[in-house]
Amino acid sequence: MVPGLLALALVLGVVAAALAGLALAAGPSLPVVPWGYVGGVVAFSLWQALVSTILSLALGAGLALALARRTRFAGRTLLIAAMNLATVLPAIVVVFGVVTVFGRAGWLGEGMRALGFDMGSWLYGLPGILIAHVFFNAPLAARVFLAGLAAVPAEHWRLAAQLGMGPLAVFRFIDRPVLLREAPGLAGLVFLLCFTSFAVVLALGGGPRAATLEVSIYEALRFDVDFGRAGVLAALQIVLGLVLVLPILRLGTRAAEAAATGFVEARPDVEAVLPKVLDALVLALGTGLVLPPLAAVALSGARALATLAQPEVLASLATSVVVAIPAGALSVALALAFAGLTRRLRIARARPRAADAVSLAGLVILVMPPFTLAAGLFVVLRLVADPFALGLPLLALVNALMALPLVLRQVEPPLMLSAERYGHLAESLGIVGTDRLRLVDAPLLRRPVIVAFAAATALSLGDLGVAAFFGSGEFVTLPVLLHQRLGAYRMDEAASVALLLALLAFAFFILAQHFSGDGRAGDR
Amino acid sequence: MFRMFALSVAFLATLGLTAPQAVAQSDKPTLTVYTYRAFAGKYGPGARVKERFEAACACTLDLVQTDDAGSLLARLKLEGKDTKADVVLGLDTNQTAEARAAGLVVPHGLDTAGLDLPVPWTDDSFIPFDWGWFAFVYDSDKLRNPPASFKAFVEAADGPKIIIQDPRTSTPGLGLMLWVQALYGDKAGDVWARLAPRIVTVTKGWSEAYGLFLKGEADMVLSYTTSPAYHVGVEKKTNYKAAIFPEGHYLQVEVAGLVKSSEKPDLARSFLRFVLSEAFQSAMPEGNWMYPAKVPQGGLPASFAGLDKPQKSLLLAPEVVRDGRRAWTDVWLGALRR
Repeated sequence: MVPGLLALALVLGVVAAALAGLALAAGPSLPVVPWGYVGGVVAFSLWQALVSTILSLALGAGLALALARRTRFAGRTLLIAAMNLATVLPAIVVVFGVVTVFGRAGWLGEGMRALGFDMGSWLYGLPGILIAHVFFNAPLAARVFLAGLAAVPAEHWRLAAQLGMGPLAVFRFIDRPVLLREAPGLAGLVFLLCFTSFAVVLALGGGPRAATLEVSIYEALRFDVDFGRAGVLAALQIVLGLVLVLPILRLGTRAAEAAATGFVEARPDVEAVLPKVLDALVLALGTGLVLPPLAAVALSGARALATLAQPEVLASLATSVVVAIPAGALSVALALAFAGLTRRLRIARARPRAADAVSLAGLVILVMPPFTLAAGLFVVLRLVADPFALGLPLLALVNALMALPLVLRQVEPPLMLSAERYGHLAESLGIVGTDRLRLVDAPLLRRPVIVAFAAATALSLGDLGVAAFFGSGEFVTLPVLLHQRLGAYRMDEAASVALLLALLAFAFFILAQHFSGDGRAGDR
Repeated sequence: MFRMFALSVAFLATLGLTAPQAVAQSDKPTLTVYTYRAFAGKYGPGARVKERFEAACACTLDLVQTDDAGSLLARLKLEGKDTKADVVLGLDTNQTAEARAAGLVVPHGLDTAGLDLPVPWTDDSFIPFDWGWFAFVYDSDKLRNPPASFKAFVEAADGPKIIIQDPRTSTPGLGLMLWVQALYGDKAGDVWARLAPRIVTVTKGWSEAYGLFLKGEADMVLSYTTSPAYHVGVEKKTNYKAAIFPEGHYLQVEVAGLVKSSEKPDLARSFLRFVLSEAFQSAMPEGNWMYPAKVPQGGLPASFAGLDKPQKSLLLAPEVVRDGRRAWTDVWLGALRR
């Protein structure tokens, strides 16, 4: 309980401090906010975020089912690692990757032209936004769904086989409840990610028709230097985001799990025809969406590969790793503390509403616009210390908070499962505190925690670093270097940094899969 | 797991203690200059400027970087009187009114005669250090007949597709909006409405726009007349050109100013004098890919020699921009959101 409350206090404290900092900098006069424009922007943001969320979850669920049913095929490990990669690349890299494949002069367009069809320019607008958002989020959804499916007790499968369930019955009685159980939390996360998406929406949205509130917040800080307006808009985004997501989270009703033996049983629906066809289609679609943009990133990065040997690249690499690993570890630690708190509220205290509120607080950082977070924190920190000297730890802390919602999504479900399965037993044996974490929870948690650590670390590697927004420039992370090269016309050299980032994240995921034993049949 | 948490916290604490701190070396004074990252970073002229200034000043030049020119002003405003900055370098004329109104700078007292600027310079708070014309850049291998004037550019319904930047998030984006404003005034909304169908997309910053253009997503991109110099000087490619319009091109003038709260105004002033000297100015063209405010004695580098130059320059006064920007942005939004 205590670590959970501390983690909660840290997250809320950082956000509150940032908003207080903005209010402090703004002074007493009330800011002028263009409400008419804001209304239109919010309406569009909601629409694109809703569609993006539905598509991402649908494709994610399909991919998870296909991967759960097909445990052995060539390239499965690679595909999973590549999918994870999509989640953590910087937005600008994904935009370039998507355009290289789907743009006017892209692979798809050129290919179709060679076949005699001119597709013209169709990408910019809702299609481009949706492609990029599904590229980012369908793999994320697939990862969470897959973890849920992997935790289905062997008894279910044995029973299903004994009852002679067909593929439809298996889906209805076993898979669907798992998907529905994970869907609300996941939908909330993806919705907020898309609701606040900024560079992607502008670049692929075709113009100011497609924009999110973040544009106005950025404008307020950048050109008007109006901290009051930035603060009001940020508060609006936070309230809107949370109000919209709360009912989604409430949708999550779940039956408590019974204890399981821990054996592994094969799924009975692997050989049926319908799932085979469906899985082939979904895997083809998922692969077709995720792999080509990644391949484009790799290919354009290969052109200036030699520039990766430059000393500043190695220095940035070191800086990035030094920030990312503690950020990943801190993020996982915070998530465990959070999830421990919600579990206790839900089960021991029977306070599901309070648990929902805590879950929601874990998402708060997503709706906090990075620029306001940086500017607000800067004001507050200056009161107590020199923000210059805090550079790297601050960057790690903010990155850890940014990754928290993703990590929480992976860590919360297994922690709940463990309580439902073994909670009474653990309590009757008097196993509490860290012993409980070590003896009872760890076996179910090990895999999600390792994967979540890899994801959080990779995400931190790819983050531009909001703390660097007002930083002193003493440290240059890989994404900062990438933007430096882009800003200096060196597009190929920037692409090689993107490739390096991708390879690094890829390596993390491959290692995570290896150490968590994913893909090895019979090991859970 | 909680041990991991404790370890992380300990690790973070150690980082905090060992993080690089600006330590004043011996008794040499330190001059702190706030600038944007592209200037001070690896690919900018920052390192050369620092080396050359320190060679003569018996001081340490500390270049503190912010993300971009936008956060430069925000940072100064946030820090107010307590700022460490002696000099701010990298604002442009669209921000100077705001900086002046906030009382962040004091008059530099320098003689700004003999500048090689296409417009007269009368600002007593800021000195210009480099400048450039905004322009639409195209690939002459692909676009054979670029529009010959702004009028033709606007009126050709089936004219070239373009990528621009958002004036709310990007300096060039703002520059184009002011360009249209300077040429068309109250008719700006109509011009934007005519251009709208040919705008492929509007990006957050210059990098996305230029990157998308190089990937072939549009025929022209909003950039600078000096952009082709990079392709000539570094890549040895001569196919990228800037379209020159006889109606005139909007200017960006980047400036430096003396921060009001500086405790070393004399040293700061000597840096501002250095900014207008040969040593600083010769680092601008191929360091910042902009025209120097004072052409060095050796002239411009070869990569700049073949650049097409506009005959007429446009620049709205800082106060005019500050007062009009909000309303003009709404016109821009109104025309492009339809």
